[in-house]
Amino acid sequence: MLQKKLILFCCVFASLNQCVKAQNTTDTTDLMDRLEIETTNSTTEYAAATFKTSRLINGHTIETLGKAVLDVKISHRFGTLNNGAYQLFGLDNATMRMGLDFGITNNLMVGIGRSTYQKTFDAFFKVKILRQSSGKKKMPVSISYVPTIAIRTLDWGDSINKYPFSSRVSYTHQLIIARKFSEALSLQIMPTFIHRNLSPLIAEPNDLLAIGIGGRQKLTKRTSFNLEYYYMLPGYKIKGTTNSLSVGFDIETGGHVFQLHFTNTRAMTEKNFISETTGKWQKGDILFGFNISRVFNIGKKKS
Amino acid sequence: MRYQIIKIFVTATFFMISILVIGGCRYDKAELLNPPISGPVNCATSPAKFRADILPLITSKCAIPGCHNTDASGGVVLQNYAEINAAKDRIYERAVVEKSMPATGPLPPAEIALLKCWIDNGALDN
Repeated sequence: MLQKKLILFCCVFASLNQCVKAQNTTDTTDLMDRLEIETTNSTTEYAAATFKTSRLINGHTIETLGKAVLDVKISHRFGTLNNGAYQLFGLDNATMRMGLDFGITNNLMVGIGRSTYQKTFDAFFKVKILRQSSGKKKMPVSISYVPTIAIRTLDWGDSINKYPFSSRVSYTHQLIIARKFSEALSLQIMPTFIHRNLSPLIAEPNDLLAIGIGGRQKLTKRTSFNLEYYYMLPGYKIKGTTNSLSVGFDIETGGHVFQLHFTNTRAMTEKNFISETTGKWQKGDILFGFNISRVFNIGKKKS
Repeated sequence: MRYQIIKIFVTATFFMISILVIGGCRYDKAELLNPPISGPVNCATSPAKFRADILPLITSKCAIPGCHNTDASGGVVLQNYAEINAAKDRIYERAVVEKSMPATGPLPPAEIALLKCWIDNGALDN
């Protein structure tokens, strides 16, 4: 099943990438090639804008914000499409997350957020460890590290069970390895470790392992097609849950990035959407959602 | 403006570090912290039957309008054996261990015991 999904994923991106390449390669010349080789050997060029924003769909991308850039993020996930017309195909109920991300340096950012799903607060930092580069210094991939802490503040829903505060806390560690293959195509893989202080059942582990794969294929200068899939490794999948699969589009307009997508998960924090997704695409448990990102440069203006 | 925002993030970071210290890294199990049933229950001597015990219980407490009937907003419908059997792990987790379902309040211990015994005995259509 996973192999089929991976093959399908690669085929979609490969075919779309070929279309864009064909448009771009018609006007190259030998002279330009030689000039390019001479300049790239003496300088280092770092891959920029591997993705449009710091989120792919639900999860993070390799990207960090620039220094002193504030990013206000508002995300919504509506109900499932199979709710039917009475619930307006899920639009009658929604979960949302509001977040503030801030770039401390060009390679380090922090973020906080609050999601209505289990009334969860989350905070993270993201640091770029390696940057993809060509020329004098060659590096095939970019790598970022993202640790996240999430705190469920939803009542336990009863007056019988008592839990310590620590039971509300979970941690996620993600390494994001990305490569920008061309101006249009970028892919990333995301090995993920989740620790939840409280596991409901004795038989279920507190530590979970997953691996994510995602990518974007530019369709035009300002729009792209995105895909994100998280696979819970065998032995770490919680009973009754499914893997998170999301597809969507990025639309960039000035300082805004609109991300419209379809997904099988209601949650927007890593621990929840990676390990607790219950929706099944084949049963129509598909949720429409969007992220809106608005950046503000609050640094000192250069005179 | 800039320094105020930096201040917010620095405060939030310290807040999160304090939670890390207070919350720590633990390996708790809800089933052990709060056992499903306080007293001993012998499922072998008091077996729960699906049609006589479980279906009426779920029909009256779970498959009610707005919850787990046909217009269930969360998509989980619990109206017959196939649907209930497919969701038995989730039912066990939410109603027996977490006791966070039904949303109106936890089931009485006797009904929790019925659900636990029915699931422990193989969730049969009997």
